[in-house]
Amino acid sequence: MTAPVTAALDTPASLTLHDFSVTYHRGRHIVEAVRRVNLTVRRGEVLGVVGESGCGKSSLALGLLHLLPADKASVGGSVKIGSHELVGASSAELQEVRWRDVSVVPQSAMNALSPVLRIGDQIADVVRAHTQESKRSARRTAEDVLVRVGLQPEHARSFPHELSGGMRQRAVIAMAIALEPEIVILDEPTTALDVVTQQLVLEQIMELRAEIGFSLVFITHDLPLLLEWSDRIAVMYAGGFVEIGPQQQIAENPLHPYTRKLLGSFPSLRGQRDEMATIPGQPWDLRRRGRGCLFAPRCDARMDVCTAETPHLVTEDGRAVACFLHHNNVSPDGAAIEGATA
Amino acid sequence: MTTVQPEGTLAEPARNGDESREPDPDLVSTDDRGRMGRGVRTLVPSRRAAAGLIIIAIFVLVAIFGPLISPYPAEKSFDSWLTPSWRHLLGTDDYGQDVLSQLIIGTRVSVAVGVLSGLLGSALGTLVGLLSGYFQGIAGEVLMRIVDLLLVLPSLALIIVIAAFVPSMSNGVEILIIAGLSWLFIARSVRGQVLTEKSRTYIDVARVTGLGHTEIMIKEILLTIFPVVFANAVMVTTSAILTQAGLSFLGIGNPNSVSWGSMLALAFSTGAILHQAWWWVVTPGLCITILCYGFVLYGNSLIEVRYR
Amino acid sequence: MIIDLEHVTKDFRGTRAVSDVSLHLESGENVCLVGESGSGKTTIARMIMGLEKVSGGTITVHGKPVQGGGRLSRELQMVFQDPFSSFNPRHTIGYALIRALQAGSDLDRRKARERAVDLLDQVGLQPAEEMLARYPDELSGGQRQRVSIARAVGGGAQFVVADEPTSMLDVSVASRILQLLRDLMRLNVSYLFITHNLAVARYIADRIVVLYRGEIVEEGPADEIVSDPKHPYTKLLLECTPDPERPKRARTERVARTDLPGDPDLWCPYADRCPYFTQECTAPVEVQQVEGRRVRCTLYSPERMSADTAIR
Repeated sequence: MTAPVTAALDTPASLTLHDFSVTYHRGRHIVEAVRRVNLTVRRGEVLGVVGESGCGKSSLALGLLHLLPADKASVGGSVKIGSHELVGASSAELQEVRWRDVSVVPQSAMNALSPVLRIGDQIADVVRAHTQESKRSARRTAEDVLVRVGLQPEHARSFPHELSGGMRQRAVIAMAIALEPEIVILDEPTTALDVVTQQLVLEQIMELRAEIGFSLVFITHDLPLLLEWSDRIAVMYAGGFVEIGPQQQIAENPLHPYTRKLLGSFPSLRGQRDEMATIPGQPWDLRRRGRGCLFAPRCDARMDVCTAETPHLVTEDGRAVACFLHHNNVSPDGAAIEGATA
Repeated sequence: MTTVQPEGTLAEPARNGDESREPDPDLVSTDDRGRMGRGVRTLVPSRRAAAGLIIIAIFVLVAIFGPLISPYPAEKSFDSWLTPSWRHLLGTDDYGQDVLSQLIIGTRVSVAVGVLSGLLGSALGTLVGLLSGYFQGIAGEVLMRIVDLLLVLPSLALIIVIAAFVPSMSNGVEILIIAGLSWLFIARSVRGQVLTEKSRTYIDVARVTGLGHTEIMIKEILLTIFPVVFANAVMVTTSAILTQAGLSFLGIGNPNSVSWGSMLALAFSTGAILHQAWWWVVTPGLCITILCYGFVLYGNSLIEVRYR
Repeated sequence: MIIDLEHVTKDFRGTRAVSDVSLHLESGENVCLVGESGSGKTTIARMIMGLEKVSGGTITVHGKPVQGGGRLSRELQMVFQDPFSSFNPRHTIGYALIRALQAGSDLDRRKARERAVDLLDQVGLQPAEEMLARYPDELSGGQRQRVSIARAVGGGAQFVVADEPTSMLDVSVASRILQLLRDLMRLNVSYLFITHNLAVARYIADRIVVLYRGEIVEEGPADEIVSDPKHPYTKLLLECTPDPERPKRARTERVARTDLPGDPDLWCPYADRCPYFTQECTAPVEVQQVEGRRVRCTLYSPERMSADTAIR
């Protein structure tokens, strides 16, 4: 594997989220799954997004490409790719950008393949949906891209159930890179795979990355995995980012108490066998409204101010953290975390 | 207008409950999600189901109280071919017998034979399906092959043949014959369901924690598949009602009792159409249709709930 | 409790899922079966529990052979991988737990209920009384696994087979379940733990057994296996286990041999991926004793050891 490209601070940005939010509404219930986040994905980098279930990471991935059902979810703020602004864009504009500039592999995508269509046809469908390619040409593209992800061209004629989990995951990744986008977002790509298959699939992805040059947004709950593969890591909690920084700094010197706890809560291959931290309590339920820092109820370092005010995500020296232990900046929203009120 | 949820309080004791790796809540509702299959709500899940049940209930009541509510005894004759009037709401037939009375009296046979044979067939089919699906093995396989064979044969033809060999056709015999063929379909269907449920982890858990076979079959498997089985049973009953009517119509049914099928048979054989006696030709068929429709409404609504 | 597997094999429609596995399990020692999918680890667990029949060899518990078709005793229980299908959605948690506690014991319903409440408390599900009335779909995966664990240890089990109980949970949630399992060891419970992650194996187990394609390829004390793996496959597993403390490594050599002469069954099952393959690696490969461990690899056969010291 080639050494990872560490994107320097002045590398141009591929994707910029500004005040980006995703809100679900059903009747009178409103849930803000992603709360006005700011994030930059730099060209060529591997950005790891780590968070537990229910923190909003999948909503982030699907929301930024407007892939959530419009009647249930709304998106706010700004998502910029190159010069395209996605929030508020028309279907036609979105269609241009999707898969050509940014692609997403949602969670459990490998289980969402159509069981009645051959793999090659499914990939060809994706290609033809976003380009003017003919059927024959799209099929050829499909075969080519299957080879690129480590499968055989013959697999284009296979049905999903004929392939193993690892192979299906590769097929789904093939769909995502078929048009050589600038940014690829993977939501839990290796979660259902065993460690060896996981390793092989990730190596393949990184090879493709070196070849094609896309930035990778790697979303998972498996922090040790991100520490191995990411350039930068963004820690997500309760719909917002609590810490963002270079992989090494996060690993050696985590600033946010949640990051610290998270790092310690995995069994390790060396060191004391019975040492493993756990985080008490439950992850924040996004349906609830809260005041102050949403991690405070579970934080062992909480102070009085933490329950009254919400810490802002403050960037300094290439690292960002939202914690009053490290700064005094209050979130511009004011005291309460507000859902979008009617 | 947001519904206000209780704010997160810090004093809350730290619970050790966890979240699992489920996808982010696509739709977050704090309402109780409808519980499928709990208690009586299984049996009447919707307005359609209620409508179906009401129709069925009406017919059952008529069947039970038949002679009491019928305006005249079925055999009493008046003038023939009378058109509907206040005295004879549905007119009279070629023999002068009041059509409405016949319909009401005939309901007994149609409902009783239809429903009973449907129930009997379903019970038998469920038992066979359950046992052969749970225990599998050679006996189960052989049984299923027999079922397959019998299913292939056209049931009406088979019934006709059997009826021809039976010395005397009474209601009881009719029930047995119809049930004897309707259990096949249920057996196949139940077996398939059982095989699916059997592969679920919680059945392994039941075995590992020491539950006996009977308990597992009834409390774990049957309970889970019951709504679908019930829905299928309802369909089978519909078919039984139609079959009974068909047998009577063809003249192989019980010759001694009045039923909708026998009314139809008479109507056609005496040329009611030529006499334009629509009140006699249409009404028995209408009754069959409405009763079956009641069952269909009910049965379908059960299946819908299960697979929503 | 002593569980012995002697030369156990299992075939599924012509494919050999488990091949000549011999294992000795004893109360007081936690053992981990480690391997990727298809290694046979789950099949072995199911055979021990009597959920599958062995095709060859024997499995005995306390000297008595395991009967197919169900639970052997209250002392041997199992926790399954999938929390979502481990419960009948139509029964409450209370029903499932109480029923399990009553089966095979003479607890009356009231006593069983008390015990259930106590157990739910012990596994961290509070308020326990309230939990009894809940249905499985109201609980998260982690909570459901806790109930499964309560159900397994509640009847006084000495041995619990845990089949990847945390693989469907968030890793941070998994850590709490693992910790719970460790805590419960004070109830004199030993585990046969199945996983594909060596870090998890090390946390729970005293002894690790590495499986590949249905065969045991290496077995030894947990710490040693992880710090000094002998079998090439174990080394591969170790490399593939995410490790935050290890510096980013260069990609290891991936071998995919398609030119094995003759029938693949003639060779060691790992032959097509092994960097150390030689013509000596014919099946069956002998198990060697190396430094207190069993390793099924020709690398450690006396002939090869003396001939080639460069590998070590």
